[in-house]
Amino acid sequence: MFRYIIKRLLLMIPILLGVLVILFTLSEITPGDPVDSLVATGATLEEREALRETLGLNDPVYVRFIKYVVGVCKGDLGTSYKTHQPVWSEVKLRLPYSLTITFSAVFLAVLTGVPIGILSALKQYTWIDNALLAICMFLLSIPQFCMGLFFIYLFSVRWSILPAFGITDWTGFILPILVVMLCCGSSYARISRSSMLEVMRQDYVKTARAKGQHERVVVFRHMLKNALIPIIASIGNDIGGQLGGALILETVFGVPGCGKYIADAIMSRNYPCVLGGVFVLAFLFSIINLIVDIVYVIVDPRLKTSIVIDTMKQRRKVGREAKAHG
Amino acid sequence: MAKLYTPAMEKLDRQRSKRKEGFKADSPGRQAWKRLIRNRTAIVGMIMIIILFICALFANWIAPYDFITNDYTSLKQSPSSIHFFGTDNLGRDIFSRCIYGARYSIFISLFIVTCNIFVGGLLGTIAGYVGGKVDNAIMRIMDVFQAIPAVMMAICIVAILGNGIPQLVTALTISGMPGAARNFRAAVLNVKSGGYVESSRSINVGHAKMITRHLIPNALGILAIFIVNMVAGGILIISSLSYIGVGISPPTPEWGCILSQNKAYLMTYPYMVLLPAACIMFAIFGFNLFGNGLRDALDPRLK
Amino acid sequence: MTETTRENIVEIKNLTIHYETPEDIFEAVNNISLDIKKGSVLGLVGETGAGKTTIALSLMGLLPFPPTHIYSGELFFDGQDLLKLSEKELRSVRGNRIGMIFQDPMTALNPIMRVGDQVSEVIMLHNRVSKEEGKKMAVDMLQKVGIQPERYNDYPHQFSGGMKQRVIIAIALACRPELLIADEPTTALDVTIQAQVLDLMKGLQKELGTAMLLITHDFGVVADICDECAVIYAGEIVEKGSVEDIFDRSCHPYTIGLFESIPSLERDEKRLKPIQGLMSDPTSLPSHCSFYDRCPKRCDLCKEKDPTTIEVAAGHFVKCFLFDEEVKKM
Repeated sequence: MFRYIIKRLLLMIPILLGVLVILFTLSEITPGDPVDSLVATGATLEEREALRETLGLNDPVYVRFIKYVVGVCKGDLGTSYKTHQPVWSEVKLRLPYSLTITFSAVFLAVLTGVPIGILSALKQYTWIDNALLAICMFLLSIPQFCMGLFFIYLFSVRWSILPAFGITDWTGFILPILVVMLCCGSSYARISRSSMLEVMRQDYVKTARAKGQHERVVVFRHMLKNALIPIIASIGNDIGGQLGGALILETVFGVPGCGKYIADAIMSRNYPCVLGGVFVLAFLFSIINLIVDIVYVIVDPRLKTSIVIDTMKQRRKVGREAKAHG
Repeated sequence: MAKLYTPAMEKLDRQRSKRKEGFKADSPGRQAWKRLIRNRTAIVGMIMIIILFICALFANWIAPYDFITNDYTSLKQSPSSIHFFGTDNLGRDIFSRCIYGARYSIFISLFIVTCNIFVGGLLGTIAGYVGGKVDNAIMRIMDVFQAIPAVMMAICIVAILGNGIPQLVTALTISGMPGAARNFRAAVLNVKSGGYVESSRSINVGHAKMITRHLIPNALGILAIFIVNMVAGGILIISSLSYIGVGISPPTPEWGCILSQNKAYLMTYPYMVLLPAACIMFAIFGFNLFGNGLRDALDPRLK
Repeated sequence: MTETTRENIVEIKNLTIHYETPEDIFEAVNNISLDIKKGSVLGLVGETGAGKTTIALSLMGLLPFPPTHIYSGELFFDGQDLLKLSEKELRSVRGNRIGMIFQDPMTALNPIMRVGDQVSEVIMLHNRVSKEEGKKMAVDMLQKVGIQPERYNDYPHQFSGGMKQRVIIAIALACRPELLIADEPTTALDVTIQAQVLDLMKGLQKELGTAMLLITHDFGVVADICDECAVIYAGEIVEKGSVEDIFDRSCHPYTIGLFESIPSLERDEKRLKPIQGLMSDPTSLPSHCSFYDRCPKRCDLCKEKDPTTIEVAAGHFVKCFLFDEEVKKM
């Protein structure tokens, strides 16, 4: 187990390095000269060249890249063009907002979506299944920002019970979490349903029934645990996407989170902030993937006993198949 | 408890009389089509998609007004019989703008899906078909791209290339590449293990013929479902991105853009925001319903 | 309820089962009657789709309702009509007095549950024993089927196909049932393992005195292990009797055709002799003889009416007009 964690951590490094390559390439091809925003207007050419030298902008590409990577390892993600503050300190302030919303929403979504999906599967062919399926499909068709706008209209404009914009106290968190919870929950419900249906069809369920086992025990002991494995895989695959999509939601609700930070930075062409922020999110994404992989290995005894080096691949595959059936 | 029923014996007799001598079973394609037709939600989805396509293709003839002219005499009018969705702050008819909006959403989405198929799909097919080191290399690169959430990637690329439709398409193709590659690779691996590849090889069928004759028809079903789902996802992400001002910018009547422009009026003139949002939902819902029905029709066991 | 002869553990009378889907009605089992004597082995032979598994599942009460409808018939197990029992009563029969072995050993075991626990589960379900005692009984049963006690805590994926099938046999026989239903238990295994598993089943059957319903499409298996045999075609029993009756004195054209299609070690054959045509579509079975299209000995009467079942010798039944004395007179 311990060896597996070490192996996975090591695997993370080349991926993050690859991400840095992409980000560095992007920063290289961005139009505009970084020096422009750092010097006062009317600076002479010599002053610009001097600044170039000090910033190391004239070094060859690979030297700059290595310096960039080293900087990232030390925690230096660049400096904002606008505020001249280190990007990391600005991102650090905003992370708690993004993480609170994402994690509490995902947690609530799992708590509601998965049982609903499983119930739906158990009651297949009845009106309960059809109704739940219809509701889930409808919710899935609403983009998060649309749902956000609807809720702002409903709760802030018509009924005036919740704040529309910004986070002044804990009530400001309610609407964003609600939106993410509904969107993710319906997706998880669908995945759970199809995973459960797949399990219900399996031969070992027949064997369990042939033993004379009570239906409730068959469901909980035999079906549920087997169904949970692909569900965990799918949800794990999804969380990263949710982190990325949080950006749009934060813009709608004015949440001062990581996503909005990046979005604002894009508007103002503040590229170091964009790249630094994206890197932080990619790093978080990798850590979440790692945790999900570990949970996956613990839950599925087939992986515990066999030597699987790349459970990440296996988990992604299982998750994708579960989602495709959904 | 075993239930003793008396099924409708007339149904049995009807069935018997229906069968003539020399009755031929339907091909799998025809069977799937029949199942699709019988699925009511799929029909609803199909109708919704057809409506969208009609709006997109014939917007010039359907929309009562055009989407650019500002009419300062009728600003911010509520929905009425002359302006179905009302007018916005520049006097433009929102209903017409929404109809024109269908054009952008659907066609850009389709275009992106096509690019995805050619770029990501090609990579995935090569990886799956060739296997071995090539497969490994391609998938590792896809892993790196997937480590950056898709929305972020799209935003970064558009930030660099600037706003505009070609740039948006490029960005979304690159961010959607890993997903498409994996899907296609899985489909190819599925078909490869299906036995007919091996049996064709054993009678010396060439590679090209193998791909066209065997891989593609069998993968067609999966492809159709993939396309429908991707178009739904595409509409979602395009409108989300243009809402925050990335990709398509005003005064283009793309739905997300319309929302972005009108969002300031959510408090005062809510119809300006809610009705275009309903259009987005209509489109995505239609594609989702149809995609669902398609999947159930092509593989009813999975239901 | 009719008096049943106590020497039969199972008596099926006039059972008809349909599967109803929105598109079609599948006539899976049509008016069959079968008896299984206590402690004896009945082989049920037929092609794929003939209805064998349906009969097995109906004995266990595992048919899915919907789409299955039992149109008519009675299913007596030790004097009780299983079709009239409540679900609770059926549960006390399943696993306890009737055990079942399914076709594919690779998927019949729960992949995330330890193998030993799967055996002790059925023991503890039907016996009032403590957990330790149940475990001990499970270990004994596993040893009986040739699996070492150390492997109690292993998972199914750590076993080969043949060993998985042994575990399944252990589960089925753990509560010493009176009837064992084996649905093509060796079809998914390779030939050498087949022989081992069959020997195991033979030995256990004799030791425990369990009656067995062995479903197969392989006459070799029937010859090896069965006392009686019934041939099923399109949901109907076309011929049944003792193994000697069926093998040496086969009457029905279908049975004869089946035997002739088996390649012979003695004769020098250039081509195989399959039965012409394909199995009838279960959604459109004719009201006359189902075997009419493929029968080499058909006559006009066969096209009009469904044949009756005739007893040509003691205990040997055939469903064919060829053996109907009254018809022969005509």
